[in-house]
Amino acid sequence: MPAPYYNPYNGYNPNGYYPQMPPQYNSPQPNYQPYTPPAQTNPPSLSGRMVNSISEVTPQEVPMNGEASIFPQRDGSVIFAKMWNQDGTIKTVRYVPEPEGALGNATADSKEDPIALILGRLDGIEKKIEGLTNRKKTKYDNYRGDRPRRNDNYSARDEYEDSEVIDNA
Amino acid sequence: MPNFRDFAMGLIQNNPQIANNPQAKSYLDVLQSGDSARMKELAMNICNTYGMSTEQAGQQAMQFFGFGGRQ
Repeated sequence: MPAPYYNPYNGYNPNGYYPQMPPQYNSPQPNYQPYTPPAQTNPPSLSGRMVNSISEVTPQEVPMNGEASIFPQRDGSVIFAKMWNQDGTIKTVRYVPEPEGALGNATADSKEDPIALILGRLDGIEKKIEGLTNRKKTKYDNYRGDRPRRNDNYSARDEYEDSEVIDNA
Repeated sequence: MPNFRDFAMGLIQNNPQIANNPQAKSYLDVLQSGDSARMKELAMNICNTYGMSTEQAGQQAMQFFGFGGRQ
């Protein structure tokens, strides 16, 4: 049995160290988390292969899972897609590249400034509105800014009857 | 008495490879409909696509299941 610890300070230790207590360190405790592997997602894959001609493709190469198999021709002139139909036949779709000129026009259209496009359309609308409003002008429109103050007996109907239609067109 | 056709259909439908296959499900729908003309047309189309006659396909199926005599 160990000898009882004698404390001359009657329970108070000026050093702050009590031999009964284990030493405490402020070292960070490692926090181990169980490793969970990330969920594996299979990347979408295309079935098919490069072919010299479509005639070399056999029905066994077309999966019966509703997906299409892609068979690009080696010379790059055409791509075939084959898939099973609901009636037990195989459907073949042929994709042919666009001529280079058509592709150039498509890129030119896409490069056009969209703001300029919108402004152009707004100009068109503005011109149309101007054309509609300027077609017929009345005397009332001409005197709108400096119209004399009407008296109480002057009704809106009188004002309308006074105005005469003039054609500016 | 259990119906063999229903038993076979249950086995096929419970197969996950078929349950997750839209093409196979459409074929199963034809089988379940009981429309024999449609079934025959479907079978003939599949056989034609594979380049064989229905008789040849039948023989191969029998051999696969161990029912038919070997050629």
